[in-house]
Amino acid sequence: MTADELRDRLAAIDPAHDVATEPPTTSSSRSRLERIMHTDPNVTTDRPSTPGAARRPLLLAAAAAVAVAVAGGVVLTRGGDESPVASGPPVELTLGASDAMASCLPVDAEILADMPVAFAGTATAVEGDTVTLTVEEWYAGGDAGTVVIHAQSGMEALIDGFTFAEGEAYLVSAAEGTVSFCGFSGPATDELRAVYDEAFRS
Amino acid sequence: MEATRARTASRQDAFRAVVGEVYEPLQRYLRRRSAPEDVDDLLDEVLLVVWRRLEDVPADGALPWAYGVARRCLANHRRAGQRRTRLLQRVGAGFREPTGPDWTSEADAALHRALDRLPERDREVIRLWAWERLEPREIAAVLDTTPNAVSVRLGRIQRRLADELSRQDRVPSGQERDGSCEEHGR
Repeated sequence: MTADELRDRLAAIDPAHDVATEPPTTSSSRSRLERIMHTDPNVTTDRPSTPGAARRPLLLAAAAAVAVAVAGGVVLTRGGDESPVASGPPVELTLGASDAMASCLPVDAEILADMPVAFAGTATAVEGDTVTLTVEEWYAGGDAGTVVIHAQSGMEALIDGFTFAEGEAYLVSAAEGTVSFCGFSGPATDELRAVYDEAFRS
Repeated sequence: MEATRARTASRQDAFRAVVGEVYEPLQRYLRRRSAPEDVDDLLDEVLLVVWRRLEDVPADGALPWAYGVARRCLANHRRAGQRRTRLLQRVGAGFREPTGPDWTSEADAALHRALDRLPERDREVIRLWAWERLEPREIAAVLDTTPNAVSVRLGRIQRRLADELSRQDRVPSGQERDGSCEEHGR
């Protein structure tokens, strides 16, 4: 079988073989493009300037999970009884569905650097809806020794594709009152740590 | 003020030019790799990245570059989808993976199975070659590797698929042939 024959065989099972596409000139395409061009290309928060009206969030993916988590809100509270250096009022953050916008971009140190809250910590307790992390290092925005993340009761705490496990290390960032996920928070791999270092240490 | 407006207008023109080139191919790319109902949202995601990173779009390779963006969007989408599947399975909700087209012939079904057996990266290389009709140099741009590495990989996958298909063509359906003895000593 020649390469051309193989290519023909493969073309025959192309799922888009007889799928009609929409040209960029239709009115719905044009309004889509207008909407996109009206977002600020320089935003660093990974969302259109007019969320909601601008577009539906993509995160259909974790729709079920997010819907529940948003209903209860994910509250990240700085401080706690054991916190050796807790000071100031607790910081409260919610998990917003439109953060799914961030899911599209590779994790970028430049964007990460704008996150007002960022830390490295180890999950010391995972109990249903609550994760307690002991902070090893604050990159930005805090000095507490402990961070508690609350999720909807009955749900394990989840942030886009990873769950917290006791004894594991994580890097967590947050902006505008919202935990940043979609790659900006996650298990503390060397790769993610390097991005955090680049964002906050250079 | 006037200068800002002119800059905005020229940026929009540049965006429209890129969109003219990638808009429909991207729809097919996404349709080949995701459920039909997700294509619209994924397309939005990709175009938003194109808009924001317009300065990074290579003048002579906008399409492979856009495929590369789409590939990352899909990967994120898929990771989150796996999470959702597990969650729905846990709560017992009925959930079915999106299915492909109905395969009309046994030969097509066999080819589909052969594709499924390939490692993900190999599968993407062969799809970019056969469906998007890209050259190795363009595939390399999508996958962020070198044209040489793509050519080597592509040759290997083509041979593997062609072998599987010829074997399939020779074997009457439902009958497996053990060709190992025959292969030896040749």
